[in-house]
Amino acid sequence: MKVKSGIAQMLKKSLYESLNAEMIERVAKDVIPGYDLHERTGFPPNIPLQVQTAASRIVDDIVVEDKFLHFIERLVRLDREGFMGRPYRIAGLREIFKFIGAEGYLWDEETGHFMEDPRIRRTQDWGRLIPGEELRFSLLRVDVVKNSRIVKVHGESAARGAYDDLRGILARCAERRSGRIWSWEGDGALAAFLFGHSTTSSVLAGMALLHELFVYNRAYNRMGESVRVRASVHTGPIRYDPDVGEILRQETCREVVESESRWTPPDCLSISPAVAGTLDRVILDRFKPAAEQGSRAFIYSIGLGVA
Amino acid sequence: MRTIVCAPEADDKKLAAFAARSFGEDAEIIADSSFSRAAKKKAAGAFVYFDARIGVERAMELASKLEGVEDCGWGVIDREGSVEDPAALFFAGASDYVGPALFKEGMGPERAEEALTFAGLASERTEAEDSAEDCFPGWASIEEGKDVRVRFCYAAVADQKGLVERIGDKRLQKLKEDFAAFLDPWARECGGIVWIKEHSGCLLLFPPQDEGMNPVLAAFRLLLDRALIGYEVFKLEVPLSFRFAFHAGRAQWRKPGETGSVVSEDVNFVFHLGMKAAGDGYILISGEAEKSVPPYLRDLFASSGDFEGRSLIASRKFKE
Repeated sequence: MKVKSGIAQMLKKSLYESLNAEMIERVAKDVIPGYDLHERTGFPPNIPLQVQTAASRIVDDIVVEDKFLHFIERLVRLDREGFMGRPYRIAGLREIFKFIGAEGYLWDEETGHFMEDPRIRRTQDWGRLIPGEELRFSLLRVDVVKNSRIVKVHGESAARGAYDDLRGILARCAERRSGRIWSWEGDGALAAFLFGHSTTSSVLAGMALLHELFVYNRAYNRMGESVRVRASVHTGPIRYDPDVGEILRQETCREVVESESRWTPPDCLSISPAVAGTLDRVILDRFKPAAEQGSRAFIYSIGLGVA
Repeated sequence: MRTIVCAPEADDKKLAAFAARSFGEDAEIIADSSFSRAAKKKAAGAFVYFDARIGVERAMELASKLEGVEDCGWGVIDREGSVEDPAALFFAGASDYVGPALFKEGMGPERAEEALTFAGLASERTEAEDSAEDCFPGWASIEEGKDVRVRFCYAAVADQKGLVERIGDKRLQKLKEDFAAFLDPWARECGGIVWIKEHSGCLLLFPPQDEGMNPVLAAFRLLLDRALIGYEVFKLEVPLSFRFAFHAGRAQWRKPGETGSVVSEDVNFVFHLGMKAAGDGYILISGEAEKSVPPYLRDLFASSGDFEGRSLIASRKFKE
């Protein structure tokens, strides 16, 4: 996020009116691990720094390191929860929120994060990830069953129409749960989830996708054959890279692709044990252990009984 | 009624232009190979035109698959005049034949209606139905006390006894209030309104014809999404489902909240249907409202006996 000088000045003022130099540095350390104010300013460690100097230097550094939003989020937590049992009130937070909102970011109360306003833009890094940053993501992999045969039988144009519809459905299911489509090849997709209860969000998006597709195939699919998918959810660390090709080579991505292709029957959603462990019982109970030998995955499908 | 055109190729531009001109943008063109695989499913509730380019024998073979399919008729489009004996098509059960001249001109709605009438598929309407259906004025414009033709839907949270034990009486009351509030925008998407809120469930009204999403499809989607709605919308840590009962009939119009004096046999019936006959996790529909089931969901419904002298159909239930 580009930080205008007006908002940077406002934050500096807010910091030196609300916190002492040690506390400002402590907040900075949470956002930039190993942050050392004396080293950055060049003052010897035994010289106490004025609060204005500390605030000014730290704000400049977080702007340079593109951690402005992260720093404000940490301040909000400090304002609400205090620190070591002591309350801290941060002056001017309301005005800072207004400035950030004007830059196209929304405050998400549930996750306690700023995210880009989806009405303005939807980028694959939620407008805030930093290249090289390693974070725990939850991934939803979707693959179209018998893609080559569909293209051969129905022609490229009819297949493309149906796949465009599928992409729209996946985008709706993922983006309303704060997910982002990272990759869309002709016959498969990868959606990523990071904020809030990211594993739960990705699983619910996968379930919603199967439901929407069930209705789509009956009511709106004009291809003459159902679009069927295999979907899989897995979670693990990923080093963020703006080049999705680089991300797809990482282990967590390879694992979710393997889980989809090896353990997931058509029209089903599989979840890895790592994902299952994070789900609330009421959702996990909808899944059954995979039938395939050697698999520890859990499977969800839409089952219809008799009338 | 839907129109399907079954041709050698799904992307035949001339045929697509004819279909759009004659049957509207909703007409579907399907390759005969695709149609063959799911003929019964696709053709239910549709009039199917076979393009003579697939060959008369092939058309007859596919038409034979339509025998016994509900609300379905067929005809042949012969743009090159290649069918030697069109009468033979009618002997085999066809209801329309579009020759080269008509193909060039395009069919008007009257001609399409004639084909449906010949196939015995034109909907029979009474005068009263016609006037009510053709000019549904919108809820805000209906005169107080006027007798109106509507579709009713009783909607309720399922397994309320079980829920009392799991979440307690207070939370269940709150859940029912939240559910009624949730139904408000949901009904509006289908052109409907939440009319009467009762202790156990809500009575919703929909216009006699679809205005927006079909309400049976909307109810079906809620049942599909029940786990997501319970968890994401109502924040429940226990399973949630719903019950739905549909009926069509007449009611004396009163605004929501002013329905205390409503006396109607149909309103009475739909409450009985919802509270006594309907079950958890599926949709129950009276014979009067059966037409509300879209053709593409029809195979998910089966006859479910009678209730208070009216025939019923019920949807299949999703497995828990």
